Amino acid sequence: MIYGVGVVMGHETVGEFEHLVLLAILRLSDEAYGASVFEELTGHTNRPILRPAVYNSLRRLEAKGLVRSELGDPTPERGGRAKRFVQLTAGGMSVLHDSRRTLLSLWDGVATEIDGATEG
Amino acid sequence: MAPASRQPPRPAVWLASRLLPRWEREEILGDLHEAFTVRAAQSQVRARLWYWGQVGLFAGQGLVDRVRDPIGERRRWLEESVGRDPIRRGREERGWEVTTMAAGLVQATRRLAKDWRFSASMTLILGVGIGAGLIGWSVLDRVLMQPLPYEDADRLGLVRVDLGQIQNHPGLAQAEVADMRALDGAFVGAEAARAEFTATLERGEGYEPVLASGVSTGMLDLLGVAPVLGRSFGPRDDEDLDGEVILVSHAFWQSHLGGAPDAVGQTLNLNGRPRPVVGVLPEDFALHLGAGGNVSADVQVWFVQSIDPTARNFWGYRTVVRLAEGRTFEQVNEALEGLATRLLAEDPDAYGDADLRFVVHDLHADLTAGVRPAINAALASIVLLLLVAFANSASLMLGRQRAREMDLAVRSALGAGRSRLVGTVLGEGLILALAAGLLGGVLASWAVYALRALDPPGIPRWSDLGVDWSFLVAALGLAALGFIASGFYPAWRASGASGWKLIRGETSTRGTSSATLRSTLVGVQLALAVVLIFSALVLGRSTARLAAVDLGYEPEQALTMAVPIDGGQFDSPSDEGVFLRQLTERIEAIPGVTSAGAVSHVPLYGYAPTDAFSGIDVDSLNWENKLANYFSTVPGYLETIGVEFRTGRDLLNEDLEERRPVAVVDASLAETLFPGENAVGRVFKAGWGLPDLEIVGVIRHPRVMDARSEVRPQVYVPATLFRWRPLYYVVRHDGDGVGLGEAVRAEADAAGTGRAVYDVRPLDGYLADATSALRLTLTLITVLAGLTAVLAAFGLFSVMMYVAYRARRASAIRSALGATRGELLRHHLSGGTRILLGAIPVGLLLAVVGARLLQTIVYDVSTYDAVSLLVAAVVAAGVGVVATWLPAQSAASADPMETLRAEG
Repeated sequence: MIYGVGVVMGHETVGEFEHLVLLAILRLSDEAYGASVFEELTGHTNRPILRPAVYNSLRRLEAKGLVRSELGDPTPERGGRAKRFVQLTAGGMSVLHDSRRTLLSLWDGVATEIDGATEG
Repeated sequence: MAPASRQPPRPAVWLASRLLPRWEREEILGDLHEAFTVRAAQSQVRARLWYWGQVGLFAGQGLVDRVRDPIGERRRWLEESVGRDPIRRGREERGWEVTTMAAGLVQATRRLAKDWRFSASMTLILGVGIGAGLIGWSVLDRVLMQPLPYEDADRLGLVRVDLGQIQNHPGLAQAEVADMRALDGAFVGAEAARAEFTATLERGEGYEPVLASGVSTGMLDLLGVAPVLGRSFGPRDDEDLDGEVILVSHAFWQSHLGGAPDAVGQTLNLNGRPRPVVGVLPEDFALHLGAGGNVSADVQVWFVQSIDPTARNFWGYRTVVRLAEGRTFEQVNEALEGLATRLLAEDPDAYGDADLRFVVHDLHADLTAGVRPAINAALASIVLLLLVAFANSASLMLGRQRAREMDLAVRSALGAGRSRLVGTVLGEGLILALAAGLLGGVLASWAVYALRALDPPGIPRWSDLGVDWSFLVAALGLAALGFIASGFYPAWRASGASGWKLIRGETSTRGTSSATLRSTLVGVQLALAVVLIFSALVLGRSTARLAAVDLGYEPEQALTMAVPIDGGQFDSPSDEGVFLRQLTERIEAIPGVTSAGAVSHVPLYGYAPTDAFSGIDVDSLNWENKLANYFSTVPGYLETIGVEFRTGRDLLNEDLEERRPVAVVDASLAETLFPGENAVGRVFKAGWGLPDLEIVGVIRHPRVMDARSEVRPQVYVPATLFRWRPLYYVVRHDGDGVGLGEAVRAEADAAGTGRAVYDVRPLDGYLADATSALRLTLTLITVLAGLTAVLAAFGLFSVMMYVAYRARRASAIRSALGATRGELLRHHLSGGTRILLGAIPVGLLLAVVGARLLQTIVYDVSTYDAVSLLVAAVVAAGVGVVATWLPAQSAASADPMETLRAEG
C-alpha cells in the first residue's frame, strides 16, 4: 500500500529514506552501525546523503520500535570510542517484508516495459 | 592508535562533543573518526576539511532537531538509561541546558506576573538602590574620574606656592611664570591666567557687563584647545602690553555676534577701548583651575595676559604647566625646590628671608580636592543604601524561595532537571534585576538632571552631569550585581533542593540556615540604617549650628552690587573721593534705603587681598609677619553690614576725600599688636604699600572670609588710599527690596560712573553659597538615610511576617493549651527584638567609625556626637519595634481553631 511517499504499516509510517536505511541494515546484518549504514547507502544511491540524516533516521526507527541498538566495545581505530550496532526488530523485518510484497505485486508485468523504455 | 597526525582536528572534535547530545556523542564521534582515518590515508588536508564540514552538518542538524522535538528525544534517552541516576545524568547532559533555561525563563515570567506584589516590591527596592548607585556613579564619573577635557590632561599641573605665612596659594608672580618656562627640561610650557573680572562692553547707547579673564598667549596651545573659528593667541599678541586682541566664548559668539562666520575681525568696545576678535573658542571650553582658581565656565571674553619677567610683586596668576615627556610630578617638584633656593638667593627684595616653596599638583586632583570629602561622604552613603537594597531583595527572594521549596522539591522528584529548576529561579532574578535596572535608570537620569539644575557653587564640572553610554553600562553593571545578590543564592539552593526529604516532611537543615541568613541580612540593613540616620543627624545639627552662628554682621535685608567706575574722569584721588561720597548719598536717598556703603570684597565673597602687618618698630614688612585681609572701604559700609564697634569710630567721608592714613581694624589685630591696651590712636605698619595707618576704630571680628571660623585679622582702609576696584555697594533696605537693583543702577548711570553695574544679589546669597556644599550633602544624605530606614523596616517587617506565618501552628497549639495573648505576643516579639539588639550596637559602632568621613564637613558638632547617636539608635529601634509589632500582633490575635483547621 503506497501512501504519498511513505509506506504505511500498522500504526507506524516509514518514510522513503527510512525504508532505505532499513534495507541497508538488513544487508549489513551483524556489521550494521552508523558509519557502515552510511557507506552502504552512498554505495547504492546516486543522490548525496548527509551523515546526520542517517543518525536521525536510526533514532526515529528505534523510537518506532523497528530497530534496536546496543553499544559495542571501544576500538583504537575509532579513537577509543564504541560503535552502536543496530539490528532489525521483528517489527522492522515485517515492515520490509510487507513493503517488498506490495512493491513486487505492483511491479509485476510493468517492469520489462520500464526497462525497455530506459534502455531504448 | 593512529599517529598524532592522523587524528581528526582537535578543535573540531571538541566542538562536536559540545554540540552533540550526550547519548549520541560516543557513537558519532567514533564513526567520524573511523571515516576520517580512511580519508587521511589519502590526503591529510582534505580529510581535515572534510571533518570540519561534517561537524558543521551535525551542528546544523542538531539545532533543527532540538527545535522540532526536544522532549521525545530526551525521553528516549532516559528510558534507555534506566538503572542509572536520572538526575545525575541530567547534570551531565550539557547540550540541553540552553533549551531548558529558556523554558525556565518563560516560566519565571509567568510566575512573576502572577505574584505581582512580590515582583513590584522587588523591582522598587532594587530599583531605588540601583538608582542611587547610578547617581553616585554619575557624580563619581564626571566630577572625580573623567580626565579634564584637554590633550594629555594627566600631564597638566597647577603650581601652588608657599611663601612665609601664605600657604598653598594658587597664584604666582609673573616673573615666576617666566622662571618656570626657563626651567631646564621640566616643563613643555608654563602659562598663566588671571582671575575672572567683569569688563564693560559698550553697545550703542548702553553699557553691559561681560565676564572676562586673561590668559597668557600660549595657554590654549598648552591645553591642546583650538578655536572653532579664527585663530588662537599668537606669541606676538602680547607685545603690546595691553593685549589689544580678544577671544570670545562660543556662547558669547552666539548671543552677541549672531553666530556669524565673519565675527572674527569684528571689533568690540571693551572698557572704553576697541578690541578686535581673533577667534571663537569651542562650545564646551572652560578653564578648569584648581581650588581658588576663580575662572568660571561662564567667562565670555578672553584677553591676553602678558607676562613681565621682572614683575615679582603680585602673586595673582594661576599657572598651568605641562610636564615634559618622561618627567613625573615628584621630579619636577624637586627641580622646583632648586628654583626656590636660587630665587631666595637672587632676589632678597621680593622674598626677604621667607620660606619659599613651589609645588606642582596634578590639575585634576587639585580641582577636586576641595569637594572630595563631601562627595566621598555622599558616595559612602549611596553604597550603604545600595547594600541595604541588595540585602533586602536577597532576603525577600529567599523568603519566596522558602515558600516555594515544596513546589520545587515536587518538580525535582518528578524528574525536572537541575538546570530547569535553576533556570526558573535564576530567570526570576534576571527579570527582576533587569526591571529594577530599568526603573533605577529612569529614576537616576531624572535625579541627575534635577541635581545638575541645583548647580551648587564650588563643585567643579557639576554642569557636565548627565546620562550617556557609560551610565547605561553602569546601570547594567548594577543590575548584574543585583541579580547576583538576589538571584544567585536562591538558585544555588534550588539546585540542591532535596525533593524526597522535604516531601517526607523531614526538617531541612537548610531551612534553619536560611532563616538565620535572612535575620542576618535584616540585621545588616538595620545597622546600616543606623549609620545613615546618624550621619544625617550630625549633618543636620551642623547645618543648624551654622545657621545660628553669630557671623558678626547682619546678612539679611541687604542688597549688593558691583559698581565699577571709569577712573579716567578724575584728576585726583580726592575727586574720586568726592564722587564716591556723592554716589553714596544718591543711593541713600533712594526710597526704602536705610544706609549704604561700599567695599572691595563683600562678606563671604570668597577672597580678599592679603598682606602682612606689623607694629611700627620694624623697618619693613616681610613674609614672616602675620597676615591680614585688607579691604578698600567707602564710609558707611561697616555700619551698613551691621558690625559691632568695640571702641573708636567708623571711617568718615573726610577720611575718604582727604586720603587720611587711617583704618578700622578688628579686635584680633588690635589684640595682636596692642594686647590689653586701647588701640585707638595707635599706629601700625600695613601691607600693600600703604603708609603707616592710625587705628580710628576697633570692631568685633565679622566672619566675612569664612562663616565657620575666624580667619585672619581685618583692616578697613579708605577706598581712595587703598585702591582696589571694582567696589561693591552694600545697600540696607526695609521692605522686600524689589526694584532696588534697578534704582541703584539708574543712580550710578546718572552719577556718571561710565560703567555697567553687575552682580546684583542679596548679601545673604553669598552666605547661602558658602554653605551650599554642606547643605547639598545634608539633603542627599538625609534622603538616603530615610530610604535606608524605610527599606530596613520593610525587610524586618517581611521577615517577621514570615516567621509569624511559619509559627502559626505552634502558636495556635500554645493558644489552645491556654497561653494568654500577652504571652503569645511576647513570644513573637522576641525574634525581632533579638535582631534589633544585635543590629543597633553594631550600627552605632559603624556610625562612629564611618563618621570620620564627615570630619571635614561638619561644623561645631563632634563626629562622636552622643545626642545624634542616641537619637539614631532610638529612631532605628522605634522603626524596628513597629516592624516587629505588627506581624506579632496579627499572629497573636489569630483564631487558633481557624489556623489548625486550615493546616489540616
